[in-house]
Amino acid sequence: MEYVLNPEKWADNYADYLLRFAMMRINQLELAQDLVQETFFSAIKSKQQFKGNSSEKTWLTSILKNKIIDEYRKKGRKNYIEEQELYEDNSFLFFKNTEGEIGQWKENELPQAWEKNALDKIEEKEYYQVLRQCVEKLNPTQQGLLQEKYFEENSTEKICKEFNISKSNYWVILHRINLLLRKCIELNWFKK
Amino acid sequence: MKKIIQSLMITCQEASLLTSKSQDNKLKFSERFKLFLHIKLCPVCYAFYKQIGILHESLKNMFKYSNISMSNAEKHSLQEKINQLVSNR
Repeated sequence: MEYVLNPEKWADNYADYLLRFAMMRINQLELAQDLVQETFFSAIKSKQQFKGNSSEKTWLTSILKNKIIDEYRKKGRKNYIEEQELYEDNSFLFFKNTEGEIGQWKENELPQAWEKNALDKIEEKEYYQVLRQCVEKLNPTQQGLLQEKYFEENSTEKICKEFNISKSNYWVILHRINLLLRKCIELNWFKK
Repeated sequence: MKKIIQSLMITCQEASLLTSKSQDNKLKFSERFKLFLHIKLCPVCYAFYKQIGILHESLKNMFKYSNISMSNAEKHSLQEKINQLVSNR
């Protein structure tokens, strides 16, 4: 299938999607809006680079991603994908590594029982403010991975390709994210 | 026999990794067996398993129900700028 560009419909078709995409990573409305606008402008300027082998949406999203990375650079934040940080191992924070106890939960990191109605409590609006704050504490790479997984709903295979990592690395990274987020929402929301 | 049992027993650290992997339904049969054996015997990892399920659901919601959008007027003026740029080229 060959894709074509229809710039006369871009604002209606993609403005909201791209704005949400930008807001996930850069929580400033004005800046996010600017980036969306610049994305469309850059796309027009580099129209001939569109080969038609991916959808318009995918192509525009990739342009926006680069703009977000530039924004991170400008602010002196760490590079979007930095290998060292990608493989940062935090499992030692949660599990013992001493002879005879290897792989056991550390006493002060033991998952605590949550309230019985924990599932109902994720219906509340305030919960998502807490969860968002927890996500914002993750490093940019971890946040990017979550965005690909949950917002773009990309397959594991596609995410691995994008980040240039093996599947087993992907599981390890996801696992670290889970350990950190679980702890964060336990402390800030589900603590009895 | 002892060897077989030992090969089926995993640590909490391994069980928690398999829990994350189970979110995407990517467990091999042997991994699923080991994980479920472990959480059957270990209440802490059972709680962890349940909680990661809740986290997974709520992350889906958080990303899905983002309600930010541009107003029609904003979209309209944006589209005009795009059109102008297109016709100028």
